[in-house]
Amino acid sequence: MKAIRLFATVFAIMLILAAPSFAQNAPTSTFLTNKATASLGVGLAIIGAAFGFGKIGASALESMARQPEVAGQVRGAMIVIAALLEGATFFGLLICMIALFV
Amino acid sequence: MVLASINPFEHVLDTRHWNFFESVRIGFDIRAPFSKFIILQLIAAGLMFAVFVPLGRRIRDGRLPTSKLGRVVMGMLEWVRDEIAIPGVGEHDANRFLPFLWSVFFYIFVCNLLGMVPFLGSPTGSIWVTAALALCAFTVIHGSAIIKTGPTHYLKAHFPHVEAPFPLGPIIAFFIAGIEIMGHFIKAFVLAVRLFANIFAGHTVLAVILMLIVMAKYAPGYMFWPISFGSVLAVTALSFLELFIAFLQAYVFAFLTSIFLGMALHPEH
Repeated sequence: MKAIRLFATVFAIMLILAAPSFAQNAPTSTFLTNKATASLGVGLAIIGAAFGFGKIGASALESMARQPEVAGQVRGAMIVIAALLEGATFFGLLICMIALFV
Repeated sequence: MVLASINPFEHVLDTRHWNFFESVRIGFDIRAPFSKFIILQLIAAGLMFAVFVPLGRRIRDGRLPTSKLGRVVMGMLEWVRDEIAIPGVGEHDANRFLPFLWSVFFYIFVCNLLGMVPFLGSPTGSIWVTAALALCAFTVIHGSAIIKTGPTHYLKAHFPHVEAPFPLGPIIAFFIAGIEIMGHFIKAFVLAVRLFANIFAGHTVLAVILMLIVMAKYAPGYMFWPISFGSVLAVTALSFLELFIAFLQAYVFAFLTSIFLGMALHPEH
């Protein structure tokens, strides 16, 4: 609960600080072109990815400590799941890069 | 202070002008239908032919390879069979799909690794190349299922048996089948985008960090050496990560292809 409140406060402060840049003229392009907003999107995607990686790593380490003889298989599965999660993160990154540069 | 914009993407994207050293204009132009990535893919295919055709002939004649490269490649071939093909499609069909899985794995691996060689690039950094690879995987997955069971039977296998009264049952089954078929296309699309985004983002990050040295001309003079050292160290570390990502993305692509193959050939009831 404290984490959610802290996160909401940080988010509100970021939006307030980014408010002056919302008042600039947008270049003529059909997608969302404000660079600050697109960069914020990447930051949000990274938050989700870091949270997911933390959970994967924590459960993998715990199971490796609990049962050392399957440590190799656990490590392999952990890397595969991390690659899949990274693919999802790069989806968000791709959309933000399209918003920034196209 | 006006910052001249550097473009990190031109080092990662496909071009018709192959640059070696931009500042002294060493590079060459490529004629119309061809481009840098086409030449690089031909190089990758040529490398694979040069390694695998002699190896295949040697094994066909009954001798095991004795050279270091031969033994390493043979170990990797067996590893792909044991870790990718058999867990995905099962032991019975593994040998039938091994040539395709071997080709996919090694082609993506070599294409990714070409990006780590100086002056070359990685063709998988283009969405069209990875889309073509995903299209090949999609065709093999559904084509082999259709060849095995027939088109109508394969389509009917998507509709589950729903225990519900008359109007509701077929409607639910129809929606579940629709979602599963949409899932086929989405899975193929995600295969392409995952590989493309990983390689493209990795090389873009490398280019951006290296170009910090170029941007050091806007910093005070004494900052040039710290920026250069920091940038080169970071790029070295990230290059090791890129080598690992090159292998991992090839493995993930091949592994997911074999999993989808197994799911299409043996639908779980």
